[in-house]
Amino acid sequence: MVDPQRQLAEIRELTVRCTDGAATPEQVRRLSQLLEDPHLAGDAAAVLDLEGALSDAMQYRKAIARSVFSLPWLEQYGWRLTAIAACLLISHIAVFAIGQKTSQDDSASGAAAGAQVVVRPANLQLVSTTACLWDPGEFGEPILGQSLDDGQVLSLLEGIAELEIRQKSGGKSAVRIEGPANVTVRGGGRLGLEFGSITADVFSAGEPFEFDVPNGRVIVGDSARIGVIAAGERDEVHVFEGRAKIRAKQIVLEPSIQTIESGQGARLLPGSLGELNYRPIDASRAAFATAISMGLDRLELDDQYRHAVLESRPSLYWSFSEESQDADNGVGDIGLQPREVGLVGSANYGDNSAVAFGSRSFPCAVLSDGLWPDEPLDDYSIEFWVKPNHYHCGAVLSLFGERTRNGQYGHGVLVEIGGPYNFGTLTPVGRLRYLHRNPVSTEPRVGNSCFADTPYRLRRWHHVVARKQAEEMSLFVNGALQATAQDPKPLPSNLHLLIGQLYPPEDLDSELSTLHRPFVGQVDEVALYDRALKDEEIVNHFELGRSLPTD
Amino acid sequence: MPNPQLKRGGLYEVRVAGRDDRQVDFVRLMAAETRRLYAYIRLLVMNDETDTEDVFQSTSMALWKKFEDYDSSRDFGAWARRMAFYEVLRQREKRRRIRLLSDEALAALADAAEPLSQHIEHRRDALSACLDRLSNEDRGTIHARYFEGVSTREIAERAGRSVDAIYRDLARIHGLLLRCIERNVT
Repeated sequence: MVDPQRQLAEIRELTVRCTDGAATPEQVRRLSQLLEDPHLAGDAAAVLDLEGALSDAMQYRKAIARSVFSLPWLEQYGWRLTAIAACLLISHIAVFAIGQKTSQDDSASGAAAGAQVVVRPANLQLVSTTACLWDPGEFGEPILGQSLDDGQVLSLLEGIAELEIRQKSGGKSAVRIEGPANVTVRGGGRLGLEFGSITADVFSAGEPFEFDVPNGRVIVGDSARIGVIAAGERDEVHVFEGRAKIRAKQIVLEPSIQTIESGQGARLLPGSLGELNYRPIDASRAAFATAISMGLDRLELDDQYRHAVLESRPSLYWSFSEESQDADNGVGDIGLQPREVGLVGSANYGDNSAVAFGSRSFPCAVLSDGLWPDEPLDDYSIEFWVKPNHYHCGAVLSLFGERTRNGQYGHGVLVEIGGPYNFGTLTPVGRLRYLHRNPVSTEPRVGNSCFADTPYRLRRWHHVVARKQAEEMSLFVNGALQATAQDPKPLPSNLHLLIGQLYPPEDLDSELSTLHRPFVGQVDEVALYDRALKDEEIVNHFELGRSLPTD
Repeated sequence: MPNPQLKRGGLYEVRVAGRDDRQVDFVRLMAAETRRLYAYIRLLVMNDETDTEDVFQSTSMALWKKFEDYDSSRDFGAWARRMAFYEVLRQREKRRRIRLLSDEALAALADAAEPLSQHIEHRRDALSACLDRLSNEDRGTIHARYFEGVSTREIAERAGRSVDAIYRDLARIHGLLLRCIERNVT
């Protein structure tokens, strides 16, 4: 007599082995035999359904779990499967002479129909970051140089992080995550982009390289450069070089696999009735910070520019170029001297050099070796060039007072950029802000601010002038007036000039030395004036600096 | 009826200018049934992701081709699942996990899958609660396999046990979860 409980146990185990791909042919035949009993078939079906639900939960998990098993498919999977019916495109129907054929031509490496070729990487590790802000989640912050594990979630709130993937085929690929983004290391060496943007340089020695996105899977060919965006309901793939394929989930009446050639892109998004639509687009490097080289936009200033600045009679002028230190040509730095704290980088543009911040996760800044101004100023101007690396909340330049009891520093002036992760500042994402305060203070609501109308461009130089004339504050970007505000009080006296983060780094050997709203990018040609620059001076300085446009 | 433009060379496209009521009806019906249909197909191909996508797409194509013959008084979902079953049978040789299953076994699985796919939302809701009731050890096994994506072999290595023992454990844990789900759903 057959024990029903033993049979149930047996069919469950065989079912799990089958879904794992671990059942032998004999075990599959035994399963087939058991399934012919309707009662056992019901149990096997329930196990399969259960396995499917748990696998879906893994695919769509989020870094921040609300419980031991937050089942994000309740939110994300649920809406996806009801809303994204993956049906007919309203505008056209494809008839499928090639549709069936395309679905069998799966992967850049010519894998067999229906087979899933996955390269198991030998090693996947975090190799470099800018100053980043991570959500530690369950796994803690990732550590540079440490291998990443299957199932590990990288939740990058702000900054750029680069992964290196060494494949057993001998290939080595680089993936750059642009925060905010969530990336999961999937089993089998695949990365899952749940939201955010990544770019990748794929050199996989002939093996396919794959990303999961919410609406499908991206299969990247060898020697390819791509960008991928997952933004809520919309996924995009941009192929800058090489070729990729996108395999959409549950797309109906169209080939589920689409090939994307160099210079092209694809967008997956739901239509008005919830069906999943595939749209071809042009590949756009501008959509990705890391697709634009920081060296592309060059600030090649010459003595004509420096003479123009000096003719405007700055109280302080830092050009950060060795050539400009030659007193014989009359264009040397003046006023207080700069002092580097930490490892401040340098970027060279011919005879001109700029300072670079935030390329590492350690504090660095440039400080004045003295105080400015000697007396409070009703009129003043602050001028500099800035090139942000990516969208983030970063303090570019400030004038700060003495240290407060709680270890902070009150500001009299602050110029910062806004990013997606707000530290409680008022600065909108993608905007420049000029703040004026008297008395110096750490309180966010004290003082008055100007916010630039137009967003700053990534990896492009911007000429910035923050000017105060009597009660009127003005913010100029690239020679154009962006915003004004009113403040009746003068600039306080005896302030330190700081470039690179919100507070000066203290005691770099101490564990307490931290990054305070660091700016990531480059700064050049800092000038302070004890008067209000005229509009025509501002325009003239900008035009001299951009005399060789790179756009 | 808009004039179609046929483009030869392997891909035939019928481009329809403007909205077609028949298309809209089909899309609406599919939108309502996709989740259940997808879950049904996935069960029949034993959760192989690639096979599920392929069969889903071919089923959708077949449904569209035969949509003119669809009797609107019938349950669209039941009709769609029936078509999906025929697609699975037709493609069985290409589907590695099920090619050794007999016709009777597949038919029994399809019959069992029908009520499951219709109550998918309730079962998902119940699953959330049932997971929290597992012991820490069992929850750890489920977490490793389904949330971390750890292979069964690695789970076995971590636990210092055999792979066979882990499969038996998974079967036992599935039994616990299924009993819990059944209690919560009925």
